[in-house]
Amino acid sequence: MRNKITLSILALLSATALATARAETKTDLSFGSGYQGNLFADSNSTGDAFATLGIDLQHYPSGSVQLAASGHYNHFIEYEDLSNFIGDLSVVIIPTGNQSRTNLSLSGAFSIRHFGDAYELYDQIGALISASLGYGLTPGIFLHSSAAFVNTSYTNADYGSSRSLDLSTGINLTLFGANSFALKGDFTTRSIDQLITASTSGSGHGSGNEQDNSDNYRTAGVSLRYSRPLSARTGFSFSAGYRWMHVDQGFAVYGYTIDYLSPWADMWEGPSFSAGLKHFFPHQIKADLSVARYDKSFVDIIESVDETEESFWFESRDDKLTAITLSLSRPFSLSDGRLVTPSFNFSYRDNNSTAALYDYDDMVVSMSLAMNL
Amino acid sequence: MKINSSLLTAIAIFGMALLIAPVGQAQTCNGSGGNFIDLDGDGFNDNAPDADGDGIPNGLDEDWIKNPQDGTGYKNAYKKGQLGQNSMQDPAKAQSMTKSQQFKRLQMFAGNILRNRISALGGMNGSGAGICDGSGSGSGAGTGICDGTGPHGGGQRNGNGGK
Repeated sequence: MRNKITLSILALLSATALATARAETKTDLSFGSGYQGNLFADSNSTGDAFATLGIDLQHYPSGSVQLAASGHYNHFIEYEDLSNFIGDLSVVIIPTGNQSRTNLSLSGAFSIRHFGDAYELYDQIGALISASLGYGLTPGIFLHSSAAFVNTSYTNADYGSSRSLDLSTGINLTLFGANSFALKGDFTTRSIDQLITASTSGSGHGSGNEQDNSDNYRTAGVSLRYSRPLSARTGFSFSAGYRWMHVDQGFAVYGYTIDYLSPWADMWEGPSFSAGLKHFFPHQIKADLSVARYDKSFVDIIESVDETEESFWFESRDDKLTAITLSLSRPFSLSDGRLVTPSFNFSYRDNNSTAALYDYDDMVVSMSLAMNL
Repeated sequence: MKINSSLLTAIAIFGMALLIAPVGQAQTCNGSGGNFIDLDGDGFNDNAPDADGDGIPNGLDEDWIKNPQDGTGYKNAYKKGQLGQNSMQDPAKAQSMTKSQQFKRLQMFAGNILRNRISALGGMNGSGAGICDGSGSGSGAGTGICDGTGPHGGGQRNGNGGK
């Protein structure tokens, strides 16, 4: 019901804005293809080729309102049911003017994602309402804070749907010319529908009684980022962060759901570090290189040893993930001013886990072309 | 212990040197450095104008003079190899921007979180492949790479899969 109301409001705002004269509309089309060596990010290393097609519409009735709609289809060659469609509608209103030191931003968004039959459990609908406030204390010091309510419904599953409140605040400051620091703190409280086993917790064997339940968990995090140019053509950044999670005693989730589409994928705590370089080569070639390291302690996972006897194995999972990504792009303008951007992307991940199934590495290579219509 | 102290000292010296080291002219708004802002954490000045919206600042963009999208204003306002001042603090320059350019500037200064959060709706990562989040070389911890897990769905795992 809440999603329908949000969708109706967005549709009404969209129709109103579309009727506004002197609006600016941008349409972008993108397509690409590639290969991922480890689709399911586990020790089975199952790979597949994929192709993508997407369209993005952005409508600006004024310089302070954006209405956006997008549709993206990702097609997998061998694992066809993993192919999925993603649709998004959003509106962002920034009522504060250009000259104000205070910037308020109000946002609403509605999303759907649809998979093939084998993965229909991951079909989902999401809605978001958020408000962000920024304040320019001086030309080099910005304060910001935000709040968001997010509702996610897994339409074909009895578990995983959630409602969360995200809060964040931070400060960005520039020192000694071109040294930028960003300190950010965030807090999330989420209520999530899930199946839990009630009688056993911790590592070891046990027999559990499945129950439908709704649980709350909370995460908090801090991060500090430092960035600066190294030369006229090169930018550098380094980030360090730590994430805490609080769950009730005995909280555990099924192992096969700890995955990239899982509602519990972000249920971990630990430190993270990342460094990035951005460089503009001659002939308009842009390069982004980043390296990141995560030390993730997940909530306990439940593996079913024998489904008929309802025997379960509780296992802790600690991952050390190292990831490298490289992106190269070369935007150019056509004679009529439209922008075309071919790009190449490469990423490699190496994950060492205390749970043998999650010891894996993965490589993704893809190429894409984006253009203004 | 001695090695650790030496290492920490070396890192501290390197850090201090990095802090005060000068940077190229194109990064600091005509060398003044007074308007350098990097809210998106890519190491580049967010105030550097990008007339054609290709992500390359005008001063480093080899084709921006040939094909300005709006056809007016920028050609005269910014010469090749020279970056401008804070557009949002200069009414004349702000007015010469298109609506989408004005919006994106405002959005950046408002700290709008929609761009990050919309892709996180229910774990939607929406990528090139539909697998990773594809956000590339993100600047902050927690962005820029996949979450380190993968989809299994029903029947993908042999003998496991709790439900």
